[in-house]
Parts: sequence; C-alpha cells; structure tokens
Amino acid sequence: MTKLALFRQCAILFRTIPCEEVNAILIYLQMLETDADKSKFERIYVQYRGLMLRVANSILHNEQDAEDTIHQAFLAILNNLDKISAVDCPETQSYIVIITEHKAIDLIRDRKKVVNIGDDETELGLEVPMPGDSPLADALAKLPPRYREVLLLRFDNGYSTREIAAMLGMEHGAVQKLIWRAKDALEKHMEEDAV
Amino acid sequence: MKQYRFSDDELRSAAASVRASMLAAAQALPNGEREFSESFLAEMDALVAAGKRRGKRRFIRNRVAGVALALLVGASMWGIADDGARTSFRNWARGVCENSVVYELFGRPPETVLRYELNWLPEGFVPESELDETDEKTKRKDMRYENAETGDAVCFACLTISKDVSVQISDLLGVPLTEAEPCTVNGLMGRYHAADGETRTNTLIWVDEERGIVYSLSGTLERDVLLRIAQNVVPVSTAR
Repeated sequence: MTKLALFRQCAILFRTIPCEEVNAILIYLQMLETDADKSKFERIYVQYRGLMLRVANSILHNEQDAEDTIHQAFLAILNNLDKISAVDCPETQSYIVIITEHKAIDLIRDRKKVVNIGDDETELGLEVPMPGDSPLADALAKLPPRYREVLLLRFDNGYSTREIAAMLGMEHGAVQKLIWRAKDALEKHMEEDAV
Repeated sequence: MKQYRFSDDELRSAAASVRASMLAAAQALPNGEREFSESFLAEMDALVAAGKRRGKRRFIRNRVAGVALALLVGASMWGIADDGARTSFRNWARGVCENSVVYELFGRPPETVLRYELNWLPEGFVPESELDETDEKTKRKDMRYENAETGDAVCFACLTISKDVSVQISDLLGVPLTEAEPCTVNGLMGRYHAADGETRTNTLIWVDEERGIVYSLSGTLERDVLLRIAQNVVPVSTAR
C-alpha cells in the first residue's frame, strides 16, 4: 500500500453530538470517568480550595485572577486525577500547591505581554523558607519556582517526566530540559555556598 | 551523563525537606478574610453536582454515539470494502466505543472562519484538494497537501462549532487512535497520536476552546514536523 493510499484511509472524522446543557464549566467533569474519580475530585475540591486560594492570592494579589487560576488548576488536576493516589497526604497537598503556583505564574507570564513585571521569575512564586537541614535542601528552596516545581514533582512525588509534562501542560522534552537546568542551577548554588 | 555533587537519593531527601517547608509556608499564608466569589462557588457546586448526574449518561451516550458512528461509516463503505477493510472496520467500531476522544465545546458564537492556510510546509508539498462542509452547527474545512516525489501527504482539517455540540474524534477507517501524548500548539491544548505500525499515520489534534475550533493534522510526517506545521496555521480571512 502506498503512503498516499494509507493516508486516505486514515482521515480524521469529526462526529458532533448535541449537548443537553450549556455551561462552560461542565467541561471539567466531562473528563471524569468513574464514580471513584468523582469522589476524589470532590474531596480535593472541598479540602484544598482554601489553600489554593491563599496560594494564588499570595502570588497574584487579585481575587478574580486567583479564581481564574484555581479554575485552571482544577482543570489540570482533573486531567491527571489518575496520578493522585490519595487525597489526604503531603504529596498530594504538595502537588496541589505546585500546580496552583504554576498556573498563577502562567497567568502572570501571559500578562507580561502588556504589563512589565520584571524579568526575575524568582520573585513571582511562593516564598519557600530554607529547611536548614542540608545545603542541598537549602539550595533547592532558593531555586526559581519553575525549577523547584519540576524537581519536587520528580524527586519527591516520584512522577515520571512524561507525567510531569502532562500535569504542567508542557512538552516532554521541555520538562527534561527543565530538570537538567534545575540540576545545573542547584550545582551552581552549592558551588557558591561552598565558596 | 553529567556528574553532579549530589546523588538522586540525596535530591529525594532534600525535596522531601523542601516540600515540608513549602507546605508549612503555604498553610501559614494569611487568609485575609478572602472568600470565593458567589459566582465561583455556584459554578463549582454545579460542576460537582452535575458530575454526579451525568456520569452514567456520558458513558451511555459515548457508546451510543460510537455505535451510531460505526453504523454510519459502515453503511457507506460496506458495499465497496474488501475483506481486509471489513476487518479494519470491525476493529475500528470497537475502538470507537472504547477509545474515542470526546471534546465538549460549549456555546459561544465563534467567528466564522472562511479559510485557514498552512503558512509553512516542508519543501515539495503542494495543495492537492480542498473540501468544505457546512451545516447549521458546524463548518468544516479540509485541505490535503502532497509531495509527489516522496509520496508523503498531510491533511489539515478545521472544524468550527457554531452551536452547543460535543465532538467525537476517531479514525474514519482502521484501528482506533493510539493513546494520546499531551502537547500544546501555540498555547492551545493538543493531543498527539503517534502511528503504531504499518497501517497508521501520525495525528495531531488541538482545540481552541475559546473560539470553538477543533483542528487536526494527519500525515506520514514526523511529530516535530507536524507540530511545526500546526504552529504555522493562520486564518486568512474571517467574518462575523
């Protein structure tokens, strides 16, 4: 079979189906597959919305923007609900904080096209105090949010780079590069601290 | 591989410490009497409640839609298909039920796109055919480009939604779409379905939810090439 003949057999078909309800927000739950997932989502929503609001507000200082960010964060969470094993555990809490911070910074980056907010992204995210129990942990806490986020998701939550790419809406290769750069930045911080 | 002065195990331990520190800081953030807006809470409550009601409906609807789609295509091709194609069709019908991709696009009047163009294509590709289809709810545009020398082809499709519909995306013939790899095209959510054997092309689908447009790009080209083509899709003219 020639490539062209093969191609003709593989055209994409769009099938349209009437919707019963008109509500843009409902798109989120359309992605849920099982009752267990719905329960998990409800519990995450109830348990973490307050924390998400505090995190988003601390970065954005605007309530409407914070709510928009939380919507985006919930969409990302729903897209990756299968990767959350337990609702009430530090790893999940960490993931929720990270995704909220990530979406808040995304919003700021979008706005950057019209508002000059400075180039130092370190200033944009959460202030993470240095734990003080090892130079490596202190260096990690000082990293820019993007670097800290991927390293925590990779080495604390234990997600694969593909999973992180899906969670953060990034290309797989971009996540790999980000992790390499984050490790380089860690190395640099540790060299400086050693001197 | 580059050697760092820390091992992955040390990094895991440090990450756990930083996580604890980050969560303590996040929990200590001032609430400032801030509450969610009424509209946000109402939307989220509706979201949770609607999910409970709609879970089973969606499951049934997807299967009904899948079977209806299978019958639709089956009826049109059965008379002309050979045995191999009929086998593919049976595979495809099952795949539609189990692996179809459903996008929900909701009602806001999008602009009517009269024409899109691929602003960049690899050397040697020329337009081969175009197809326009319009009904009361959707407007579809298909364009196929071919490279006569290499035998490669790429097909661009653009579906504009003008009313509240769901969009189910699957192969027209043959096996189901492979598992999707999430990607973004100019900031829009996308899915890349890699070819999984001799009988498939690579497919890139991306969705502009704001404007209610689903795009697809299929072809025998590699992922990065398809992505580059997708990033250079431009509207040539539009009208309200």
